[in-house]
Amino acid sequence: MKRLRLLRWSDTVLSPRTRPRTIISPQCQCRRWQSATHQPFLREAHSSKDVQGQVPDTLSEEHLLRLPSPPIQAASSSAKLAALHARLQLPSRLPLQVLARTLVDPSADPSPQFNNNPFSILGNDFLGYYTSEYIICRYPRLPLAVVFAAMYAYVGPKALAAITREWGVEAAAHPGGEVDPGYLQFRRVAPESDMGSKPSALISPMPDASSGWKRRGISSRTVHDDEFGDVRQSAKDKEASSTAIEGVTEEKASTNFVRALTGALYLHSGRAAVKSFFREHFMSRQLNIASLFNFRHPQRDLSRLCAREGFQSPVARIVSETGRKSRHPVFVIGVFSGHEKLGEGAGSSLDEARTCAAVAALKGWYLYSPTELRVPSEMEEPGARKWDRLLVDPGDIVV
Amino acid sequence: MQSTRDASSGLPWTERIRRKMWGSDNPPGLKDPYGGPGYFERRRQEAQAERGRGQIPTEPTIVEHEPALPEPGLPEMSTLEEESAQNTEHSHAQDMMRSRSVPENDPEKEDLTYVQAETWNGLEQVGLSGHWSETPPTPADSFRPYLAAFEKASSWKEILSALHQAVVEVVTLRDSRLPLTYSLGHIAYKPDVLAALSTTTIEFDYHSKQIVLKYKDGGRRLMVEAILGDDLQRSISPYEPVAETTYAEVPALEANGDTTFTAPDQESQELRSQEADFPGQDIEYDGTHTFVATKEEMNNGNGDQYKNNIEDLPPQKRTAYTVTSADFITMPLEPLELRFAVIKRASQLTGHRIPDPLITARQSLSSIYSYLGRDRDSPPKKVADRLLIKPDVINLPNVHIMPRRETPVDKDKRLGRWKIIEAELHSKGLPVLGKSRV
Repeated sequence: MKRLRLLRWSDTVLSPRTRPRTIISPQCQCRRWQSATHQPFLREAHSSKDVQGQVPDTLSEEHLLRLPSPPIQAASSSAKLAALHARLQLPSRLPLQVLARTLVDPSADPSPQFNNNPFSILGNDFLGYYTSEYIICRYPRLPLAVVFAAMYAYVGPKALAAITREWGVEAAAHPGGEVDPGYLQFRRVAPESDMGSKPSALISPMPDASSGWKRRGISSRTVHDDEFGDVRQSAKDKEASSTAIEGVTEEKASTNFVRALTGALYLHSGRAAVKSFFREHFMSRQLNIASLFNFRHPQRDLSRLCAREGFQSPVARIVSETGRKSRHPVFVIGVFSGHEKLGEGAGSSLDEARTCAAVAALKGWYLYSPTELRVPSEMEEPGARKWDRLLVDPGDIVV
Repeated sequence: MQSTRDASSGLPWTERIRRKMWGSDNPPGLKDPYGGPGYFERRRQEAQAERGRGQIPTEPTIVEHEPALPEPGLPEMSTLEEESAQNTEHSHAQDMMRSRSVPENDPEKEDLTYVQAETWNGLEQVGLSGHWSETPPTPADSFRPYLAAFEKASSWKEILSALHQAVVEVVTLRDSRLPLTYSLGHIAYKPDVLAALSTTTIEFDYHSKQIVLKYKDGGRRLMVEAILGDDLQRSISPYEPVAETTYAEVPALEANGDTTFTAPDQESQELRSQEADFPGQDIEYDGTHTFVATKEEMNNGNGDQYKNNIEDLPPQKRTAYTVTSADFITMPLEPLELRFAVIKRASQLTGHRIPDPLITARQSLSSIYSYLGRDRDSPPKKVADRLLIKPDVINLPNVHIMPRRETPVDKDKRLGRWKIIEAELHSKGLPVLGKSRV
C-alpha cells in the first residue's frame, strides 16, 4: 500500500510559493498570501512595477478595513493566536498562519483560499470516521438511532461549539482585516432574520414531509444522510440558503472551526497527531450512552429480540416485593428467558417494575462491549496486529 | 675535559646544552631557537647583495653570529659572562664594527671598495630623523574615531530609533549586495529619506530565516540612493573610502533584476561635482548641520586639512524618530557579519561603545538594547520601555507589548466592532470619539 505523502500535499495545497518556479500559477501573484509560510520577500523590481493600483507593502489601516479577513502577516504577531496554539498543545509543525485561517469562517471571507472551508470538509470526515468507529467498536449492538445520537453528542454542532468555548476561543464582533486573527471570525446572522429553523429530525422515526416518506427509514439514513442521520443538504438548497441568510450562528462557525482545525492538523502533522488530538479532546468527554435510549414498547422489543436471537420468550417474575397493601409498595421484577435472568427492575407497581426490567434487559443486550477494544484505524499504523473481525449487530429490531 | 672535547667539535655552547638536554644529536625544534640573525646582520647582507660585488650573500648561520668560541681550557662561566655582556652592550656602532670585522676574518671575501667612514655623513640612516612632529602627515595619519560622529544617545527613544536605523540601513545594503559597512559615513539624511526610514518595518521571514524589510512607497529606492548617492557626506569618513566602482555596480545589479533603484544620472552627478567645487561649505537639511569635506581635500596631501577636519568636526545631534514596533529587537540577526555591521552602526549612532562579548552573546539585539540603556539616569518611565529591556518578556510569543495605553477603541478595533460603531455614529451625525468635527 502506498504511503500518503501528506507533507507534500500540504505544501502544494497551502504553500504555492514553495513549488518550482515553472508551475506557479498566476493566482500566486496576488498580494493576499494564503500560504502557510510567511509572505515571501518581494523584490523591489517586481513591486515597483505593479505598485499602481495594488496593495502596498505595508498595509495601512484603510487597506486593512477593506480586507474581509486578517492578512497572513498578522498571524505571527498575534499574542492571542500564539496563546491558543500553546493552550491546545498543537504541534509546532502547524504554523500560526494556518491556525489563523481555521478561525476564518466562509461567511466572513467567501474565498476558499482564505477561509476554513477546505479544512473543515476534511476535518469533518476525520471526526466522523474516528467517532463512528469508536462507538461501533465499543458498543457493537447499539441501534443505529443511538449511534447517531452518540455521534451527535460527541462531534455534533452543539458539542463542537461547547468545545470551542472550553478552548477559550472568542468570537469577533464583525470580521475584517483589522481584527485580531486570534478571534473566531464569522458574519453573524441579523437579529431580525428568520433562520427557518425546524426541530431536528434526529432519532425521530417520524417521516419528514419535506424529504419524502421513502427517505426517512432509519436504515436509509446510513446510506443517504450525514453522520448524524440528518438529511444531507443538496447543492441547490445550500445556494438558496446562502443567498437567503447572510451569516451564520456562532454554533455553526464554532463547528466549522473545530473541524477545520482537525483537517489542518492532519495536513500538517499527519494521522498520528490527529488521532492523539481526537483522543485528548473528544474521546475524553464523558457520555452516558445508556441515557440515550428511548424505548416505547420495551417489553415487545424484548420479546422480538428473544425471538430473533432464538432465546426462550421472556417471562416476568416477581423477585421480591414489599408493602403491597401500603401506600408506597415496591416490587422487584426480573425478566427471565428460561432460567436466565435477562434483567431486573424495581417500581411502585407491577407494570412499572416489569417495564423497567425489560428496559434493563434491552440495555444489557445493546450495551454489550467487548473486553478488548480495537478500531479499524489501528490497522493503518505500521506493525499492527492482525485484525480480528468484529461482530456488529445485524440490525435494529423491527417491530 | 668535556668542554675541550665539545669545543673541538665546533659547536656553540648553547647547542651543546641543547643536545645534552634532549640526549640526541638532532634535537627537535628550530635550527636556531635563539632568534637567528639580528636586524643589522640581515641589513648588512642585503646591502652586500645590492652592491652586487658578485659575492653571494652568505646565509646567516649560527656559527657566524655567535661570539667567538672560547679558547679551550677556559671555564664555561667566563663564556657566559662574555655572552651576556655582548648582548647588553649591543649597540649600533658595535654591530657595525662587527659587521665590518667579519670580512677581515675572511680575506677572500674582503670588500676592496670599502672605505671606512670617518663621520656619519653619507651613511645610511635607519629610523626617524628629527622630530616626529615635523614630518608631513599622510592620509594614513588622519583618523576619526567612528564613535565621535554623533552625540551620545540619552533617551530610550533615541536608542531604539538608532537600532532601527542601523538594521534598516545594513539590511538594505545586504539586499543591494553592497558592503555592509557602507552606511558608516552617513550623518544626516534628508527629511524624505528620514521619513522613509522611520516607516520601514522590519520583519522576520521564517521561510528564509532572515530579516526582511517592508518599505513604504519606494522607500528602498530612497534609502539606496541616499546611501550611494551622498558622495559628499561619505567623504567625511576617511576610514571608509568610497569605492570607485560604486555607480558602475548599480546598473549591473539593476540589470539582474535585484534592485530597482536607478543609478544617479548625469545631471545629478554634475550637481555633485558642482557641490564638490565648494569644499567645506555647510549644507543644511532641516536644521541639521552637516560638515562637508570633499575628496580632493582628503587626497591633496596637505596635512592641515586633515588636522582641521578631525578637530573641527563636532559630534552631530542625531534626529531620533518614533519606532512603531520594537519587535525587531528580538529577531535573530544572522550571519555574524550582518550582526557585526548592525552593531557597529548602532554603536556609532548611539555614541556608546559596545563590548565584544555582547556581540556574540545573543543573536538578537535585545541584550544590546538593554546594555545601551543600562546607565540611563532613571529607569524608563513608560511600561512598554521597561518591558522591552527584559528579553525574557519580549521573547514570549503570547505577550504583545503596546507602545501606548490600550484604549477601549483599540479593543473594539481588535474585535472588529469599531468600524460598525463608527459607521453608525456617522450615519446619525454624531461625533466620533466625543469631539465634533469642524
